[in-house]
Amino acid sequence: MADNNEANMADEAPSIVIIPEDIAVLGFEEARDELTAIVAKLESGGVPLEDALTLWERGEALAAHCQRWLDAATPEAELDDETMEEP
Amino acid sequence: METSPDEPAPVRSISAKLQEWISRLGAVWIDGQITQVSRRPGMRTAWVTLRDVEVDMSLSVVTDTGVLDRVSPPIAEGQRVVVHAKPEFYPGRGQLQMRAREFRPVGRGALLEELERLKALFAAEGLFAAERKRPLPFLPRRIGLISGRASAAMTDVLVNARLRWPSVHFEVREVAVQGVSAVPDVVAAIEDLNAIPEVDVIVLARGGGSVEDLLPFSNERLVRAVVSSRAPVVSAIGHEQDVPIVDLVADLRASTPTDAAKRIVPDLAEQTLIIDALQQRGRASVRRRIDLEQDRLESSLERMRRAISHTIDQARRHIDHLVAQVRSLSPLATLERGYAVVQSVDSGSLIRDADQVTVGEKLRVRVARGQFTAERQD
Repeated sequence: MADNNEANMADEAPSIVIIPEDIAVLGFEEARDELTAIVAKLESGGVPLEDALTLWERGEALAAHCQRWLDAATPEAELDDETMEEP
Repeated sequence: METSPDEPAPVRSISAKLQEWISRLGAVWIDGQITQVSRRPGMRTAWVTLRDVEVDMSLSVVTDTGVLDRVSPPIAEGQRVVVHAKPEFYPGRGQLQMRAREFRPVGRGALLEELERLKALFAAEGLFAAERKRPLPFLPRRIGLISGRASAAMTDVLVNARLRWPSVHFEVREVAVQGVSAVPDVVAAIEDLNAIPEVDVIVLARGGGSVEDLLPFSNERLVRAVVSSRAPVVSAIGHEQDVPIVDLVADLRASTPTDAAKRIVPDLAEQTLIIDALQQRGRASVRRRIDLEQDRLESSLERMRRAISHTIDQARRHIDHLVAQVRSLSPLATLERGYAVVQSVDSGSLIRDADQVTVGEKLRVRVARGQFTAERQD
């Protein structure tokens, strides 16, 4: 059966996450807050399976969007270490 | 005197008239400053130029050498004096001069008294009040510097300011800082500098000197010019004991020109360090925020995936349970135990009672695997 594959499905990140337009325009805090809300909903357990799967998909997209934002901010904050060493 | 182009008066009449009018002034006491003394050995008369202390106006004064010799301390150029003189008009050449009978040098005591009077006057006007002092700009666009021609004071300010902040921009006005021209020169320089909008602060610098030398810096006109200056004024006037009045009205008083230089511009090296430190702190703070958010993000993802896995597992287990239930309710299990389902071929109804079947009737028998036809034998 395909049980094994299904068990592993949610343990790792989906290899390609497509970020829908409405998430891509969100600011970092907005996306992060929405992700937090989705996590809380999924943890509460009261969501029917089909809705849970939809929420999870959206959560992955929100997380990918947040990660992209953090990756963009990081090099700017680390720039100074090289320049600071110059006399 | 009535004259017209057709009835003009001769020169001698005009001269006589002038002589008449001028002599009406009579003897007066004049307060001024000696700018020139001209006496030749063997001559009985001497000439002195007496100039107004504040403005560029002077009178020619003639006197007996005896009058001059009587003055103690002796008359010198630059000396402030009170002169008793009366005007004389010489019709021969149409010249006017004052004939002096007495010279009284304005003594230091009298000078100091005058200074005290001015100080009291200005204090009463509130010109010395601390609230009046304006703060200097942190980094002035241009600094106006009023100082003596090629003086050490000027060099001190320029050199020391440039050491601190190399790109400082000065507007220098070299002026007389003592003597008769000092007051008008300095006042004009202040006005000139204030007319330049980029001049954000003005420095008055001169080296030390005697009470007499520094008198211009207690002069009312100069002091008021500093008071009404648009740009704040730094006074850097070296003095021994007595503080010139301008020190009291200036927005900042520096003890020396070098001291002034240190207070009008910030130190470049120091400021660079401060800014670098702030930048580093800022960046470190941002990095910490990013790291924090990264951790939060990873933790959210982990929780979300665990939750969805759990939900899926639960759903699967539920299904498995239902399947097991369904299967247990299925007749297949019973058939597996060896039982058979018997139906009438004709009617299809299930046979539960032997009486339902006649001998020879055809029956359908369904077993766990497959089915066949049977016939009642007995």
